Amino acid sequence: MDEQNLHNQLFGEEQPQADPVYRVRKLQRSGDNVVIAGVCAGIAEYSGKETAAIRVIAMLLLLLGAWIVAAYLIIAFLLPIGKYDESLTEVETKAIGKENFRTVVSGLFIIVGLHFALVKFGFSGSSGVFILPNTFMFPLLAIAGGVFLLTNKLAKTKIGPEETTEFYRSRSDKFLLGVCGGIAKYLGIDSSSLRIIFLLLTGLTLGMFAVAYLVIAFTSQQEPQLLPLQDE
Amino acid sequence: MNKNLVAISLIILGAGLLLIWSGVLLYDSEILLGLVLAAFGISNTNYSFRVGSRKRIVLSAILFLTGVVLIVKNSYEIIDTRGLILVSILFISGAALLILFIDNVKQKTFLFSGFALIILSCFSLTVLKKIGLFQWLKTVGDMFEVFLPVILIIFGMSIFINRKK
Repeated sequence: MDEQNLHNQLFGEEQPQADPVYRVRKLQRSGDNVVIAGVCAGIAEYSGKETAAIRVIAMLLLLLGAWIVAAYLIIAFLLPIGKYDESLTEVETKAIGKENFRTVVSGLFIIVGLHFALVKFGFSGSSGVFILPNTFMFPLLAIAGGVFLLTNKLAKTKIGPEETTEFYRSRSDKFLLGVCGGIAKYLGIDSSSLRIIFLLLTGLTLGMFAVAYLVIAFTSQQEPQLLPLQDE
Repeated sequence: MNKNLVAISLIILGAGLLLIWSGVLLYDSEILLGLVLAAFGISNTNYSFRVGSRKRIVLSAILFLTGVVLIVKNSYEIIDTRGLILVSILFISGAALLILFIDNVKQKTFLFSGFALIILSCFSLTVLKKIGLFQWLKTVGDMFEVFLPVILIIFGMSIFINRKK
Protein backbone atom coordinates (compact mmCIF):
# COMPACT_ATOMS: atom_id res chain seq x y z
CA MET A 1 0.00 0.00 0.00
CA ASP A 2 2.88 2.37 0.84
CA GLU A 3 4.59 1.53 -2.47
CA GLN A 4 1.39 2.35 -4.31
CA ASN A 5 1.21 5.72 -2.53
CA LEU A 6 4.83 6.49 -3.42
CA HIS A 7 4.18 5.59 -7.07
CA ASN A 8 1.13 7.80 -7.15
CA GLN A 9 3.03 10.71 -5.60
CA LEU A 10 5.97 10.33 -8.04
CA PHE A 11 3.84 10.10 -11.15
CA GLY A 12 1.27 12.60 -10.01
CA GLU A 13 -1.59 10.18 -10.04
CA GLU A 14 -4.42 11.02 -7.76
CA GLN A 15 -5.12 8.71 -4.88
CA PRO A 16 -8.59 7.25 -4.69
CA GLN A 17 -10.50 9.19 -2.05
CA ALA A 18 -11.82 7.21 0.88
CA ASP A 19 -15.46 7.66 1.71
CA PRO A 20 -15.86 10.21 4.49
CA VAL A 21 -16.86 8.68 7.83
CA TYR A 22 -19.87 10.29 9.40
CA ARG A 23 -20.25 9.77 13.11
CA VAL A 24 -23.87 9.60 14.17
CA ARG A 25 -24.42 10.88 17.68
CA LYS A 26 -26.66 8.44 19.42
CA LEU A 27 -28.80 9.36 22.41
CA GLN A 28 -28.01 6.69 24.98
CA ARG A 29 -27.31 6.33 28.69
CA SER A 30 -23.69 6.77 29.59
CA GLY A 31 -21.87 3.54 30.37
CA ASP A 32 -19.01 4.95 32.38
CA ASN A 33 -20.22 8.24 33.88
CA VAL A 34 -23.02 7.03 36.11
CA VAL A 35 -24.65 8.32 39.30
CA ILE A 36 -28.05 6.59 39.11
CA ALA A 37 -28.60 5.31 35.57
CA GLY A 38 -26.37 7.54 33.44
CA VAL A 39 -29.27 9.48 31.87
CA CYS A 40 -27.91 12.99 32.54
CA ALA A 41 -24.42 12.04 31.31
CA GLY A 42 -26.00 10.50 28.19
CA ILE A 43 -27.94 13.71 27.45
CA ALA A 44 -24.78 15.76 28.08
CA GLU A 45 -22.72 13.57 25.71
CA TYR A 46 -25.42 13.88 23.05
CA SER A 47 -25.88 17.63 23.36
CA GLY A 48 -22.20 18.44 23.93
CA LYS A 49 -22.93 20.20 27.22
CA GLU A 50 -21.20 19.62 30.53
CA THR A 51 -22.55 16.65 32.51
CA ALA A 52 -22.37 18.39 35.89
CA ALA A 53 -24.52 21.27 34.65
CA ILE A 54 -27.18 18.89 33.26
CA ARG A 55 -27.20 16.97 36.57
CA VAL A 56 -27.69 20.11 38.68
CA ILE A 57 -30.43 21.39 36.35
CA ALA A 58 -32.21 18.01 36.60
CA MET A 59 -31.99 18.15 40.39
CA LEU A 60 -33.30 21.73 40.45
CA LEU A 61 -36.29 20.64 38.35
CA LEU A 62 -37.31 18.53 41.36
CA LEU A 63 -38.50 21.81 42.91
CA LEU A 64 -41.30 21.84 40.34
CA GLY A 65 -42.62 18.46 41.45
CA ALA A 66 -42.11 14.71 41.28
CA TRP A 67 -42.73 14.52 37.50
CA ILE A 68 -38.97 14.86 36.88
CA VAL A 69 -38.39 11.54 38.71
CA ALA A 70 -41.06 9.89 36.57
CA ALA A 71 -39.50 11.37 33.42
CA TYR A 72 -36.03 10.20 34.50
CA LEU A 73 -37.21 6.62 35.09
CA ILE A 74 -39.09 6.48 31.78
CA ILE A 75 -36.03 7.79 29.87
CA ALA A 76 -33.81 5.31 31.72
CA PHE A 77 -36.13 2.45 30.72
CA LEU A 78 -36.26 3.54 27.07
CA LEU A 79 -32.64 4.45 26.35
CA PRO A 80 -30.01 1.76 25.74
CA ILE A 81 -26.82 1.72 27.80
CA GLY A 82 -23.73 3.05 26.01
CA LYS A 83 -20.56 1.01 25.76
CA TYR A 84 -18.33 0.98 28.80
CA ASP A 85 -15.02 2.67 28.06
CA GLU A 86 -12.47 0.00 29.01
CA SER A 87 -9.58 2.36 28.26
CA LEU A 88 -10.35 4.46 31.35
CA THR A 89 -7.56 4.20 33.89
CA GLU A 90 -8.12 3.87 37.63
CA VAL A 91 -7.13 7.52 38.14
CA GLU A 92 -9.61 8.71 35.50
CA THR A 93 -12.38 6.56 36.98
CA LYS A 94 -11.62 7.95 40.42
CA ALA A 95 -11.66 11.53 39.06
CA ILE A 96 -15.05 10.96 37.40
CA GLY A 97 -16.43 9.44 40.63
CA LYS A 98 -15.15 12.37 42.68
CA GLU A 99 -16.60 14.95 40.31
CA ASN A 100 -19.95 13.12 40.25
CA PHE A 101 -20.05 12.95 44.04
CA ARG A 102 -19.30 16.67 44.36
CA THR A 103 -21.92 17.53 41.72
CA VAL A 104 -24.61 15.53 43.53
CA VAL A 105 -23.68 16.99 46.95
CA SER A 106 -23.62 20.54 45.56
CA GLY A 107 -26.96 19.96 43.81
CA LEU A 108 -28.48 18.65 47.04
CA PHE A 109 -27.26 21.66 49.03
CA ILE A 110 -28.59 24.10 46.41
CA ILE A 111 -31.96 22.36 46.07
CA VAL A 112 -32.52 22.15 49.85
CA GLY A 113 -31.44 25.78 50.27
CA LEU A 114 -33.75 26.94 47.46
CA HIS A 115 -36.61 24.84 48.86
CA PHE A 116 -36.30 26.49 52.28
CA ALA A 117 -36.01 29.92 50.67
CA LEU A 118 -39.09 29.36 48.49
CA VAL A 119 -41.11 28.04 51.44
CA LYS A 120 -40.08 31.10 53.46
CA PHE A 121 -41.38 33.37 50.69
CA GLY A 122 -44.64 31.41 50.46
CA PHE A 123 -43.96 29.44 47.26
CA SER A 124 -44.33 25.70 47.00
CA GLY A 125 -43.73 23.17 44.23
CA SER A 126 -46.45 21.47 42.25
CA SER A 127 -48.51 19.09 44.33
CA GLY A 128 -48.90 16.52 41.62
CA VAL A 129 -47.73 14.87 38.44
CA PHE A 130 -50.25 15.72 35.72
CA ILE A 131 -53.57 15.03 37.47
CA LEU A 132 -52.21 12.59 40.06
CA PRO A 133 -51.25 13.84 43.54
CA ASN A 134 -47.64 13.48 44.78
CA THR A 135 -48.85 11.31 47.68
CA PHE A 136 -49.96 8.76 45.08
CA MET A 137 -47.12 9.28 42.61
CA PHE A 138 -44.27 9.00 45.12
CA PRO A 139 -45.11 5.40 46.16
CA LEU A 140 -45.43 4.44 42.48
CA LEU A 141 -42.06 6.00 41.71
CA ALA A 142 -40.48 4.21 44.68
CA ILE A 143 -41.83 0.85 43.43
CA ALA A 144 -40.72 1.63 39.86
CA GLY A 145 -37.25 2.54 41.16
CA GLY A 146 -37.08 -0.73 43.11
CA VAL A 147 -38.16 -2.81 40.09
CA PHE A 148 -35.66 -0.90 37.93
CA LEU A 149 -32.86 -1.80 40.33
CA LEU A 150 -33.95 -5.44 40.65
CA THR A 151 -34.06 -5.93 36.89
CA ASN A 152 -30.41 -4.89 36.80
CA LYS A 153 -30.90 -2.05 34.36
CA LEU A 154 -28.07 0.02 35.76
CA ALA A 155 -24.92 0.76 33.82
CA LYS A 156 -21.61 -0.78 34.84
CA THR A 157 -19.54 0.93 37.49
CA LYS A 158 -15.95 0.20 38.29
CA ILE A 159 -15.04 -0.66 41.86
CA GLY A 160 -12.91 2.07 43.38
CA PRO A 161 -9.42 1.64 44.79
CA GLU A 162 -8.79 -0.09 48.10
CA GLU A 163 -9.13 1.99 51.26
CA THR A 164 -6.20 2.65 53.55
CA THR A 165 -5.85 0.52 56.69
CA GLU A 166 -4.39 3.13 59.04
CA PHE A 167 -5.97 6.40 60.12
CA TYR A 168 -3.73 9.46 60.16
CA ARG A 169 -4.39 13.16 60.23
CA SER A 170 -3.69 14.33 56.72
CA ARG A 171 -0.53 16.29 56.04
CA SER A 172 -1.37 17.37 52.50
CA ASP A 173 -5.18 17.75 52.63
CA LYS A 174 -5.66 19.95 55.68
CA PHE A 175 -7.41 23.12 56.71
CA LEU A 176 -6.81 23.20 60.48
CA LEU A 177 -5.36 19.96 61.88
CA GLY A 178 -6.01 17.59 58.99
CA VAL A 179 -8.76 15.60 60.76
CA CYS A 180 -11.37 15.86 57.98
CA GLY A 181 -8.74 15.13 55.33
CA GLY A 182 -7.64 12.07 57.29
CA ILE A 183 -11.19 10.76 57.80
CA ALA A 184 -11.99 11.36 54.10
CA LYS A 185 -8.92 9.37 53.05
CA TYR A 186 -9.68 6.61 55.56
CA LEU A 187 -13.28 6.27 54.34
CA GLY A 188 -12.50 6.93 50.69
CA ILE A 189 -14.82 9.93 50.39
CA ASP A 190 -14.48 13.55 49.30
CA SER A 191 -12.77 15.76 51.90
CA SER A 192 -14.29 19.13 50.98
CA SER A 193 -17.85 17.80 51.21
CA LEU A 194 -17.04 16.17 54.55
CA ARG A 195 -15.61 19.49 55.80
CA ILE A 196 -18.81 21.34 54.88
CA ILE A 197 -21.02 18.68 56.51
CA PHE A 198 -18.79 18.90 59.59
CA LEU A 199 -19.16 22.70 59.68
CA LEU A 200 -22.95 22.44 59.38
CA LEU A 201 -23.15 19.84 62.16
CA THR A 202 -20.92 22.00 64.37
CA GLY A 203 -23.31 24.91 63.82
CA LEU A 204 -26.39 22.79 64.49
CA THR A 205 -24.94 21.40 67.74
CA LEU A 206 -23.80 24.79 69.03
CA GLY A 207 -20.14 23.90 68.57
CA MET A 208 -20.35 20.64 70.54
CA PHE A 209 -19.36 18.67 67.46
CA ALA A 210 -15.98 20.39 67.57
CA VAL A 211 -15.21 18.34 70.70
CA ALA A 212 -15.04 15.21 68.55
CA TYR A 213 -12.72 17.04 66.16
CA LEU A 214 -10.37 17.95 68.99
CA VAL A 215 -10.50 14.43 70.49
CA ILE A 216 -9.60 12.91 67.11
CA ALA A 217 -6.87 15.53 66.58
CA PHE A 218 -5.21 14.85 69.95
CA THR A 219 -5.54 11.06 69.95
CA SER A 220 -4.33 10.38 66.42
CA GLN A 221 -1.01 10.69 64.69
CA GLN A 222 -0.14 12.83 61.75
CA GLU A 223 0.52 11.15 58.44
CA PRO A 224 4.19 10.10 58.28
CA GLN A 225 6.28 12.30 56.06
CA LEU A 226 7.88 10.61 53.09
CA LEU A 227 11.62 11.36 53.16
CA PRO A 228 13.70 11.24 49.98
CA LEU A 229 15.95 8.18 49.70
CA GLN A 230 19.59 8.91 50.57
CA ASP A 231 22.59 7.11 49.11
CA GLU A 232 24.72 5.41 51.74
CA MET B 1 -24.95 -0.07 48.79
CA ASN B 2 -26.38 -3.48 48.08
CA LYS B 3 -28.54 -2.93 45.01
CA ASN B 4 -31.02 -5.68 45.91
CA LEU B 5 -31.47 -4.31 49.43
CA VAL B 6 -32.13 -0.80 48.08
CA ALA B 7 -34.60 -2.22 45.56
CA ILE B 8 -36.52 -4.29 48.13
CA SER B 9 -36.62 -1.34 50.56
CA LEU B 10 -37.96 0.96 47.84
CA ILE B 11 -40.67 -1.54 46.86
CA ILE B 12 -41.72 -2.08 50.51
CA LEU B 13 -41.77 1.70 51.08
CA GLY B 14 -43.78 2.31 47.92
CA ALA B 15 -46.28 -0.49 48.66
CA GLY B 16 -46.66 0.68 52.27
CA LEU B 17 -47.21 4.30 51.22
CA LEU B 18 -49.84 3.18 48.71
CA LEU B 19 -51.64 1.23 51.46
CA ILE B 20 -51.52 4.30 53.74
CA TRP B 21 -52.80 6.51 50.90
CA SER B 22 -55.68 4.14 50.20
CA GLY B 23 -56.54 3.99 53.92
CA VAL B 24 -55.90 0.25 54.32
CA LEU B 25 -52.90 0.79 56.58
CA LEU B 26 -53.54 3.20 59.44
CA TYR B 27 -49.98 4.29 59.98
CA ASP B 28 -48.01 7.49 59.81
CA SER B 29 -45.90 7.66 56.64
CA GLU B 30 -42.89 8.94 58.62
CA ILE B 31 -43.06 5.89 60.91
CA LEU B 32 -43.13 3.64 57.85
CA LEU B 33 -40.12 5.51 56.42
CA GLY B 34 -38.37 5.11 59.77
CA LEU B 35 -39.07 1.36 59.83
CA VAL B 36 -37.80 0.89 56.28
CA LEU B 37 -34.69 2.98 56.99
CA ALA B 38 -33.95 1.06 60.19
CA ALA B 39 -34.42 -2.33 58.50
CA PHE B 40 -32.36 -1.27 55.48
CA GLY B 41 -29.66 0.27 57.69
CA ILE B 42 -29.15 -2.82 59.81
CA SER B 43 -29.15 -5.23 56.85
CA ASN B 44 -26.77 -3.02 54.88
CA THR B 45 -24.44 -2.67 57.89
CA ASN B 46 -24.16 -6.45 58.02
CA TYR B 47 -23.55 -6.58 54.25
CA SER B 48 -20.98 -3.75 54.40
CA PHE B 49 -19.04 -5.49 57.16
CA ARG B 50 -18.79 -8.56 54.92
CA VAL B 51 -17.77 -6.49 51.87
CA GLY B 52 -15.40 -4.39 54.00
CA SER B 53 -16.39 -0.93 52.78
CA ARG B 54 -16.03 1.61 55.59
CA LYS B 55 -18.02 4.41 54.00
CA ARG B 56 -20.93 2.01 53.51
CA ILE B 57 -20.72 0.88 57.14
CA VAL B 58 -20.87 4.48 58.37
CA LEU B 59 -23.70 5.44 56.01
CA SER B 60 -25.73 2.34 56.94
CA ALA B 61 -25.28 3.02 60.67
CA ILE B 62 -26.41 6.62 60.15
CA LEU B 63 -29.47 5.47 58.15
CA PHE B 64 -30.40 2.90 60.80
CA LEU B 65 -30.27 5.43 63.63
CA THR B 66 -32.08 8.06 61.55
CA GLY B 67 -34.84 5.50 61.08
CA VAL B 68 -34.98 4.91 64.84
CA VAL B 69 -35.16 8.68 65.48
CA LEU B 70 -38.02 9.00 62.96
CA ILE B 71 -39.95 6.18 64.65
CA VAL B 72 -39.42 7.68 68.13
CA LYS B 73 -40.26 11.22 66.99
CA ASN B 74 -43.57 10.16 65.50
CA SER B 75 -44.53 7.58 68.12
CA TYR B 76 -44.21 9.83 71.16
CA GLU B 77 -45.20 13.38 71.82
CA ILE B 78 -41.96 15.29 71.82
CA ILE B 79 -42.41 18.96 72.57
CA ASP B 80 -38.87 20.14 71.92
CA THR B 81 -38.01 19.01 68.38
CA ARG B 82 -34.84 21.14 68.28
CA GLY B 83 -33.53 19.41 71.40
CA LEU B 84 -34.24 16.05 69.76
CA ILE B 85 -32.28 17.08 66.65
CA LEU B 86 -29.30 18.17 68.77
CA VAL B 87 -29.27 14.95 70.81
CA SER B 88 -29.79 12.82 67.69
CA ILE B 89 -26.96 14.45 65.72
CA LEU B 90 -24.54 13.94 68.61
CA PHE B 91 -25.66 10.37 69.29
CA ILE B 92 -25.73 9.27 65.64
CA SER B 93 -22.30 10.77 64.93
CA GLY B 94 -20.92 9.12 68.07
CA ALA B 95 -22.39 5.78 67.02
CA ALA B 96 -20.91 6.16 63.52
CA LEU B 97 -17.46 6.74 65.03
CA LEU B 98 -17.91 3.76 67.36
CA ILE B 99 -18.78 1.52 64.44
CA LEU B 100 -15.57 2.65 62.75
CA PHE B 101 -13.76 1.48 65.88
CA ILE B 102 -15.57 -1.88 65.71
CA ASP B 103 -14.45 -2.18 62.09
CA ASN B 104 -10.82 -1.55 63.02
CA VAL B 105 -10.19 -1.96 66.76
CA LYS B 106 -6.61 -0.73 66.43
CA GLN B 107 -7.91 2.79 65.83
CA LYS B 108 -8.64 3.86 69.42
CA THR B 109 -9.14 7.46 68.30
CA PHE B 110 -12.61 6.55 66.98
CA LEU B 111 -13.51 4.96 70.32
CA PHE B 112 -12.55 8.08 72.29
CA SER B 113 -14.22 10.55 69.93
CA GLY B 114 -17.34 8.35 69.63
CA PHE B 115 -17.66 8.12 73.40
CA ALA B 116 -17.10 11.87 73.74
CA LEU B 117 -20.03 12.57 71.41
CA ILE B 118 -22.33 10.02 73.05
CA ILE B 119 -21.51 11.41 76.53
CA LEU B 120 -22.20 14.92 75.22
CA SER B 121 -25.57 13.75 73.86
CA CYS B 122 -26.47 12.31 77.28
CA PHE B 123 -25.27 15.48 79.04
CA SER B 124 -27.25 17.69 76.70
CA LEU B 125 -30.39 15.86 77.88
CA THR B 126 -29.59 16.17 81.58
CA VAL B 127 -27.00 18.60 82.94
CA LEU B 128 -26.85 20.98 79.98
CA LYS B 129 -30.65 21.09 79.73
CA LYS B 130 -30.83 22.24 83.35
CA ILE B 131 -28.31 24.99 82.65
CA GLY B 132 -30.65 26.29 79.94
CA LEU B 133 -29.03 24.91 76.83
CA PHE B 134 -32.33 24.34 75.06
CA GLN B 135 -33.41 27.98 75.52
CA TRP B 136 -30.15 29.09 74.03
CA LEU B 137 -30.54 26.50 71.31
CA LYS B 138 -33.94 27.95 70.44
CA THR B 139 -32.53 31.48 70.08
CA VAL B 140 -29.56 30.33 67.98
CA GLY B 141 -31.79 27.93 66.01
CA ASP B 142 -34.22 30.75 65.09
CA MET B 143 -31.30 32.85 63.87
CA PHE B 144 -29.76 29.91 62.02
CA GLU B 145 -33.08 29.13 60.34
CA VAL B 146 -33.20 32.58 58.73
CA PHE B 147 -29.74 32.23 57.19
CA LEU B 148 -29.86 28.46 56.51
CA PRO B 149 -31.06 28.74 52.85
CA VAL B 150 -28.30 31.22 52.02
CA ILE B 151 -25.68 29.12 53.82
CA LEU B 152 -26.77 25.95 51.99
CA ILE B 153 -26.83 27.65 48.58
CA ILE B 154 -23.37 29.17 49.15
CA PHE B 155 -21.95 25.80 50.28
CA GLY B 156 -23.54 24.10 47.28
CA MET B 157 -22.16 26.68 44.84
CA SER B 158 -18.68 26.45 46.35
CA ILE B 159 -18.64 22.63 45.99
CA PHE B 160 -19.96 22.89 42.44
CA ILE B 161 -17.32 25.44 41.41
CA ASN B 162 -14.51 23.38 42.97
CA ARG B 163 -15.82 20.01 41.78
CA LYS B 164 -12.82 19.37 39.47
CA LYS B 165 -10.11 20.29 41.99
